[in-house]
Amino acid sequence: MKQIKSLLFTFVCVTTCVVFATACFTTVFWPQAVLGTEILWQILLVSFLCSMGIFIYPEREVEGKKTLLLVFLHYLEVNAVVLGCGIWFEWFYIDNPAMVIGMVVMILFIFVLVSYVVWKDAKRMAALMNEKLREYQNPERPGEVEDKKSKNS
Amino acid sequence: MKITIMDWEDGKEDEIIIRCRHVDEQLLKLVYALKAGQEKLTAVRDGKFFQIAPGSVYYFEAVDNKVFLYLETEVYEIKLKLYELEKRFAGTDFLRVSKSVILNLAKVKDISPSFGGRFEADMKNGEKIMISRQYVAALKEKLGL
Repeated sequence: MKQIKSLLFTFVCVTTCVVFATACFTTVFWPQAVLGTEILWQILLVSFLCSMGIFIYPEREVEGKKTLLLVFLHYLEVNAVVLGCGIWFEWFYIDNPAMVIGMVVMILFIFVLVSYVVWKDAKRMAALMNEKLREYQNPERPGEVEDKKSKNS
Repeated sequence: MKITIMDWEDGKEDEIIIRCRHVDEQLLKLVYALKAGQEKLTAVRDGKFFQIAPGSVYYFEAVDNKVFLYLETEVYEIKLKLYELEKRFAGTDFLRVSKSVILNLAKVKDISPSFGGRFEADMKNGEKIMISRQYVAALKEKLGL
């Protein structure tokens, strides 16, 4: 359940950014467009597929260089999903370089922003866990355990 | 529950006395945990057998159907399976953090975030152990989060 919560957090971040990016993109490239309700489902689908990218990272330990490679693979996955869906849903024309560059720049921006937000949240959680770990390792703190020490004479 | 710790005379064996109205599941878990922490583990290195105190173990790791226990600097092979160790040390400082590792929380120096919803445990001996996504929830629960 908590794993799903973690995935949902990423999904919410991605969806928020995608809605923002869609607003920017349509303002710049489709200013006269009238959007249908299907765009909402398309945004949710793309956000969900992008959120699934966290499963690229294996459960086992990986070295520093391999981690960077995995981040790059994750970035490629997000590009493939967004550009693929973009062509499928006709968000942009592949033969229009300005639109393609616009999409690529937005993907990079959202990827960096979401990664940063998720990282900050994980850092906050790690700090909380470290605090609890200290308490766990040193339980005899004043007010927590009634520690009645008496000399056995 | 009231906890009383008394100083004991030098040379005498440490003793734990539990006074209770009835033995419930929580109390039984506590007793098992205490006993598990006391019983030494038999491990092998270079064909020789050693008795290892569980408290000195940093972590257990399963590699190619073999289970190894890691002390601060030495590594020993142990004939128990990882799930058996998990069961034996349930309720103690040991916690499963991935499919192949059970680590001793008492030997963790720090926890840091990693990519993809995972965390990394920096051990007191300088080693780093990956805490996989599916076990992060268990760690949080163990720490009372």
